Amino acid sequence: MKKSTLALTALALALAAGLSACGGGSSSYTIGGVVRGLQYGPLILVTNGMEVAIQPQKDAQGNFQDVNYTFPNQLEYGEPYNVTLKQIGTDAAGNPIYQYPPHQICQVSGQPGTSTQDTAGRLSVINAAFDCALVSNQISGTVTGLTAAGLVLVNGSSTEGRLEVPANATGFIFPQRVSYGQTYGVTVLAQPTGLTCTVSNGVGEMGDDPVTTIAVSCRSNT
Amino acid sequence: MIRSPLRAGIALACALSLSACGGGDGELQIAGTATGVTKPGLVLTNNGGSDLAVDQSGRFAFKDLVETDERYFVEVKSVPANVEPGGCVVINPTGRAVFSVNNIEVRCTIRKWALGGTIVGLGNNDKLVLVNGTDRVAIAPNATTFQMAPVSEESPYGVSVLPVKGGPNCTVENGSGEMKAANVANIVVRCTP
Repeated sequence: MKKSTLALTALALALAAGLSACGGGSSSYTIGGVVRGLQYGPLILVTNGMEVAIQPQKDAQGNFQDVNYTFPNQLEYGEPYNVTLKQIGTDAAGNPIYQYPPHQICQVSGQPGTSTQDTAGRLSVINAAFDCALVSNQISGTVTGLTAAGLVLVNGSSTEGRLEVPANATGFIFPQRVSYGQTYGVTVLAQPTGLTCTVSNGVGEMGDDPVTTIAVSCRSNT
Repeated sequence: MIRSPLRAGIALACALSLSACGGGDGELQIAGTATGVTKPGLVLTNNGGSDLAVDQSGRFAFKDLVETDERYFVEVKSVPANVEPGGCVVINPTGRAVFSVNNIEVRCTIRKWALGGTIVGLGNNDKLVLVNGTDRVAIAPNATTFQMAPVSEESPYGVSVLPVKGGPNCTVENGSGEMKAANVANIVVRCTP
């Protein structure tokens, strides 16, 4: 008799505790998440009329680390949210144009796109995670006087790749991209038959836009 | 008394059934992926035999099939000509074959060589920056030699001067080439103050 009463009491207590854990506490939800790979700030995220500007953070060794963010106001249970990059306009086709952090592209972790939407309370913790990566661009340019085959251009050792430029080509483009802030240096690895080619504007540091101004000029050896 | 012959009989039956399952059917493949292989010379073994030459990166499979539950153990017998001894490592080298095995990875690291040379006439300019693609090296004033990051054998290289405001006026000789099996030290950066 005594035993079963004790057991019942314990059960009741456990149920009560469980209930309070489920729904009996706060019904407000903080919207936040983690941003990975952020190197330049700010990344501006918006939802439910709120805005948060996220800056990159470094650890003690000077390496960029993941940044946690939260929006200032909490949401009630069942309120929808849609965390997106700040929109700054629309393009000609009516698609939104987002404000990315400088020199970077960011998107929702694990899926293409720039917004993550759900309903507050469906998950116990809201984690709207974003991944950022540096902008990367191709390098390209013009060729003049290339009347023979055999020209091979390289961008240092970084790509392990050699770009063969066929006779009579008037331009070239390296398929591999170079990240913002990294250097590139185009040189001639092999000269075409009977010609000598020189490269101008071949060296630089990648900016926000593709490099198109490299000029290769070839002249006959005779 | 009576149990012990019975036990022997069971053991025999078990042995027979095991051999029926795994004995001699040899239908499972031992396979995987090789990376960093650009030259012939890589030879893999399974359980010390079944020599398999892998001449390029990509999928490889031993020709000898193994039996169900047979132990496999893949090792590197020799490496490609452009890899140091011990420069190919095997990931997931061993286990027991239950299904065909596909998760063996052989990763070879191509040998690297130094890339550098001499600098003439730099003077006390502190703005000389040399680049080899994404590799960037700032040169100290009055330097007479330089070293870029090492480059894998057979990879191309192309050293040039990053234009910097206030930087020296320099030209590069012997700046482009393909890394052979030796250090490169013949690049000359010639500067005029």
